[in-house]
Amino acid sequence: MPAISTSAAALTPSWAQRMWRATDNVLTRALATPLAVDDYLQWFNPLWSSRTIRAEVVAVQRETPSVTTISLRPNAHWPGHRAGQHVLLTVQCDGVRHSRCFTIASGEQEPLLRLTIKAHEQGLVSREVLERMRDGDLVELSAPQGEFLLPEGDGPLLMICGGSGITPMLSMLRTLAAAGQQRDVVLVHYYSTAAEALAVEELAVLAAQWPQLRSLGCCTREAGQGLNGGRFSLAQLQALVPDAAARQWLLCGPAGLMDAVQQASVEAGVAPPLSERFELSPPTVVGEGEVHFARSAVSADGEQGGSLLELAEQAGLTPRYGCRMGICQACKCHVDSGLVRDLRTGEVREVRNESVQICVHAPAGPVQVQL
Amino acid sequence: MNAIVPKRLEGAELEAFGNEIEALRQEVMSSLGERDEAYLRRILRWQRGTEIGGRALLFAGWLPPAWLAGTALLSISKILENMEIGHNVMHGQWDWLQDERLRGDVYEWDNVCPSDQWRHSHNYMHHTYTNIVGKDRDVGYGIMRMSEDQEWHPVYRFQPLYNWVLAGLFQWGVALHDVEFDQVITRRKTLREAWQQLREIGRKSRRQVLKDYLLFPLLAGPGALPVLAGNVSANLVRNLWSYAIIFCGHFPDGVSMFTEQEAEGETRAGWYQRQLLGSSNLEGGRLFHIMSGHLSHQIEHHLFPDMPAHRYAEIGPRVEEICARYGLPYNSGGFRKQFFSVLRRISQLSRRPEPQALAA
Repeated sequence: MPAISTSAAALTPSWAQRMWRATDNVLTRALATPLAVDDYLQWFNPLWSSRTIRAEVVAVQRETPSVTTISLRPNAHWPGHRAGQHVLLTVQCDGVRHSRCFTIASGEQEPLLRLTIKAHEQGLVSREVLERMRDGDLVELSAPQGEFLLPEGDGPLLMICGGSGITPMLSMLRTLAAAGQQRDVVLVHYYSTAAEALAVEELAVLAAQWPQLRSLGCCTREAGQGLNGGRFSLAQLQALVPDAAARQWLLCGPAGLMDAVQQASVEAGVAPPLSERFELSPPTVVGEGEVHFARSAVSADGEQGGSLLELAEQAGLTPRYGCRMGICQACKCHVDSGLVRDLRTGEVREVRNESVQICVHAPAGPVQVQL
Repeated sequence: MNAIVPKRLEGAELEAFGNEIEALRQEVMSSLGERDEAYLRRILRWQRGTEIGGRALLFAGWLPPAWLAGTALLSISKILENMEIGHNVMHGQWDWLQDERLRGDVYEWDNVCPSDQWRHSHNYMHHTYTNIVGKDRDVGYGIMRMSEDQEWHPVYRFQPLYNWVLAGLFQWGVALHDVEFDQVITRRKTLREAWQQLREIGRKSRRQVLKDYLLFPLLAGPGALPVLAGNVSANLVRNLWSYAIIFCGHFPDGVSMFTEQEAEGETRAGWYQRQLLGSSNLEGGRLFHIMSGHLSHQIEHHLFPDMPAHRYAEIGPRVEEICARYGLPYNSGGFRKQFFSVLRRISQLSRRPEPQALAA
């Protein structure tokens, strides 16, 4: 059985990629200065770039009322992914660029890159995808990232996933199927309602052609749907998959499911599951109302009042500043995350990876500043 | 000139005026979105397009019509890049797009002045201390007498002449502006600091000189000379145009200058009032406003330096209406009229002032 690995493809650039990189050289940079070579390449075609991975949206498909799959045709810089990896997607929402991580759902051999994205109530990017993304839109991508990969060899697998946590599993199954590998896999997929179940038909087709694949859907909130097993428990798992302890576990889903499965793996005495966490990482700020100046590893009490600039100065730092009244922008600093109050308007807003004028912003909660 | 001293608000009335201006700022800033982004992308496309087209045409520059068209396109491109893109991006007007390429604190413009020095001399010094004689170095740029409050010196006799040299070499004047040679002579700034800045200017200008006066002409092979001439001309046209627009912003008749005492302890409302009284608008069509980087809306620009400039035209009438209600002047005029009043001021102030009659 041929081992599947695209890592070689990811490391050595293709000839097309090398050609694009060569467009940015000493001469073209001197001709483009002070702009970048890419500024001109993009004038001819927005997908052209010497280095950046850009992609065109070629299909937008509604999977469930809250889940959309977008198919992307990337430019030559896309190095190919390995099943289970994710990518940082950058889209524009009302003119503003935002980036979020999404797991890749397509198989390694597929010509188009597919992302299956669940829209969250507060999710800026996921809602933009659900509500406004159209064929022909352009997006930017990072290189594929992540170490949540198919285990090497041909040992039996147990995939446990919840909601859109099924996407990396789908990528793995699609990759195996396309390579003609009939590895022994059990997929246990939790979904809240029947309408929210993903890839039901595709999984049925796959299982029909692939005798050693078992796909078990568990509906947690509706009676009469799926296996109706309710939420995950070790007993339920042992009933569904008697040889669970003999398999390598793979896990992806919401925090509650992740914690329950990790716990169960300890009780069952199996190796800790390979897993991918989906949650947004909580702000890396220590304490309530505390300002953390990350670069100098100094903290200040936000309660004591004053602008971020004043707090930094009181903490012994010497940030750059100019007018100290919000005009000249000399004091702008990168804020990793936090709640800030605009001292000119009193408006409080949440900031994530943004430059902020520290002379006219005060902390309104925990804030982490790159100073 | 400056014969009528415009009314200045004080106390509660001044604060009320400031609150109205601030409310207008918040209203616009909270409405920024896709429409604004689309506008900027269009401008960027035009700037790139005119540059690519202009340089391509100049390669056929031995044909006079191609040379003229190429030079014109390249001039337009340079004007757009410096005024509607560079100047405005560096004010942070587009930071909210979260686009790394359009961040005010890192953008480099196609001008021999290093962006960092510009951000200091312009964004900070000029926009904070606007028209305060002795603090705002844009009042005469350290070489000209633009206000009666500046002391006369015999060298100013020649300013009607060297004014035109400054106009033609404007980007070089802008580049040397933040070095503040006068401060070095009076020892308020060390020679070492000035030298450091000069070296940065050297690095920055070398790149423009290499690109416009060496590489592109060389690429044209036998057509090197027309390309060189076209590039020199485009830089000159941009210099003259930006000089004219900028001088019309603060020096026409009716614009106030301030003393340091007048600005002391000023509130934000006071700052708004000084921005208003110290600036003057130019009237014109949409294309004129774009080509001036919307500095034709100098008043709105000075009130709201970090607001995307294409919004100035929309809110101009509302600023004017607020001013009218408070009895404040809203200086505005056609380009020709304003420019001639600037030239008149340059020539009048070049003369030694008559000793003032003691009891007027």
